[in-house]
Amino acid sequence: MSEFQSDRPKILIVDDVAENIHALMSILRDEFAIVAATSGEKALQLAAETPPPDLVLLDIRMPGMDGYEVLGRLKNNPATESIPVIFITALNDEDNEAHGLDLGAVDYITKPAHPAITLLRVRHQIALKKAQQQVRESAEMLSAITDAVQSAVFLIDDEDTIKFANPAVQALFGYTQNELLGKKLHSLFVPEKDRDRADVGMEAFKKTGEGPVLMKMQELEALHKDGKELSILLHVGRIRKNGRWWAAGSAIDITELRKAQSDLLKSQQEAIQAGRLASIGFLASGIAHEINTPAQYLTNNLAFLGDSVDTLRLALSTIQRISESPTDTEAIEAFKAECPPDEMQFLLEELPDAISQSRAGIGHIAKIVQSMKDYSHSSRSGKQYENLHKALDSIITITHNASKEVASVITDFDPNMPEVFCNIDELRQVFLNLIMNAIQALETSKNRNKDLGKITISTQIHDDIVSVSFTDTGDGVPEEIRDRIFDPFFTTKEVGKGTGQGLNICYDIIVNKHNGKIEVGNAPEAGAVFTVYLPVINPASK
Amino acid sequence: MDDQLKQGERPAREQFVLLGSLLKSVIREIDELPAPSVAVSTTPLTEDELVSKLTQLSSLLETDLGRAETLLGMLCAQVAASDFEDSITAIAKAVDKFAIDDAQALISALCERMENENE
Repeated sequence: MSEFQSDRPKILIVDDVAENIHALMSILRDEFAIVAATSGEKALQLAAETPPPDLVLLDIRMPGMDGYEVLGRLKNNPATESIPVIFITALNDEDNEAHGLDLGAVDYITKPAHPAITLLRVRHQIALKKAQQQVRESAEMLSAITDAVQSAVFLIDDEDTIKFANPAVQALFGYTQNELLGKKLHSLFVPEKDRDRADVGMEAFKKTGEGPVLMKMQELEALHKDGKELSILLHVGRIRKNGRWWAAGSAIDITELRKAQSDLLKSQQEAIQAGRLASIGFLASGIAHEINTPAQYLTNNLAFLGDSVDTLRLALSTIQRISESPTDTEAIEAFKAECPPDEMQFLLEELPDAISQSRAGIGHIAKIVQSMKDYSHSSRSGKQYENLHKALDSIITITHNASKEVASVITDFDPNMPEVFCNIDELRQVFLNLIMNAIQALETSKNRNKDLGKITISTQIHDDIVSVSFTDTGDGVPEEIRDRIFDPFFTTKEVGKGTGQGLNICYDIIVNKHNGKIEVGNAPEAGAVFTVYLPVINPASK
Repeated sequence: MDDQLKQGERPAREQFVLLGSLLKSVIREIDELPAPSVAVSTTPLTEDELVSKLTQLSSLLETDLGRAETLLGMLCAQVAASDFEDSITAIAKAVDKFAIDDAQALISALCERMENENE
């Protein structure tokens, strides 16, 4: 634009009589930039210039090319077809006016033109053109945006008919524009199993403008043209159009994200299971020792019982002979020699103890085996109401051999502890990690002496939250590492002693999987305190 | 009447009477118009200034005739009794008839003439 070009709206006045142009200029020149032509040919030339005029005031009766022809040519030229034209003419009959408007003129003013009316009508057309321009620019801008975004953007009417779909809809769902427009959205995208529910929702939306998917981000399954199910994140808003509710929505494909999440979850499960197996490996030798002790005295007792049975069988056989022949002195003498009273007395006293000890030994072995089974067999993938004390007892049992050299394990269980909605297998993993951490803290404690350390496991119920604390008498957790202690791969143990996954797995299980909380602090008498907080109730039942 | 005259028809006597009456009314309204508030400078222009104004005029003739007329009025006053008066008057007459191409040609010719005279 040259320095002399104006930003005022530009009006082209076309009239073969210069005085008429002067008259119109005197009306319009203060508000508009005027260009003028005294012939149709010159008018077409000026109309095709850049920038084109915003409005043409066109006389009809002119020598050579008349106004009708000028208008026709303007309309036939793509560069000028959108320029509004007002006829301004002495032809004041109805037929000419109708003809002019029919040809595409936006207005028709008869001479002599009243200045104020003419000015108003010109202003009106200029404002209208400006508004149309703004609408066109907005539409172009909207189109550019919807073309550029990677989200699928669509518009449906209250009959579920697709009125607009951007290229991303085509890319996401595999349909062409023609296959989308005018079709029912639900029939294309909603899986069969969800269609009835979606149709009911659409009916409600049609009537009330309300619906279950409105104005919130929702994760849904949607159908690709090839029948494959996609995971999409959908947001839908509503539009009031001619008294009816339309809906505009955007969707993004999260199928890959969901797959990645699923893989991650699987990896986490595998990590937990690997941790569980590592723990079993670590505990195995101690558990074997735990089982070996009662097994040893069971063996001894069984040998004693075997010997005793031989003695008793002999005694019983001799007693049977005597009972059949009370005068058989040989038998009576044999009984006295083989079953002396002091030996019989010994058997009578020791046999019940041996049996009782054996039963206890078997019970102890059974308890250890059961605890190992509980811990190592991940039998439940879901959650249900479980007894945490029972789980803690079983973990104390399988860690006993590891703990007995460094600490006495004390329990302080709240007798009012309710069953807690949880995945007990996962919580056993947490309890084991925290007890083993406490044992290792005591093993490496600077304050370790001949006296046993102490690990206190306490539970408490606080309204609808339960807490389980593991307190040791080691060196505690330094303040500066508390923020990082639950981070993956963070460990203070020497190389080869810890992977840094244990507390991270605890955090994941408690915080992410149970909506709970895990805290670390130091006990008043030194040593670390790890406290797990868990909601008692299934959140879904609230 | 304009339309009738274009079609070779003679307007009726009453129309001439009405025209006379309207003309009187227009003359009266013209007489009542306030004097222009913008003072027109009559300070003579240097040739450089004149060339600059002519360039500006040439552009305005293509974009904004209202402003072109205002500029032309000032130019006429500033070149009065100078060598350029006739040329500017000719340009003004062409513009008055909306013979814009003619006016542009006259502007070009005047600029060329000044350039030649200065060589």
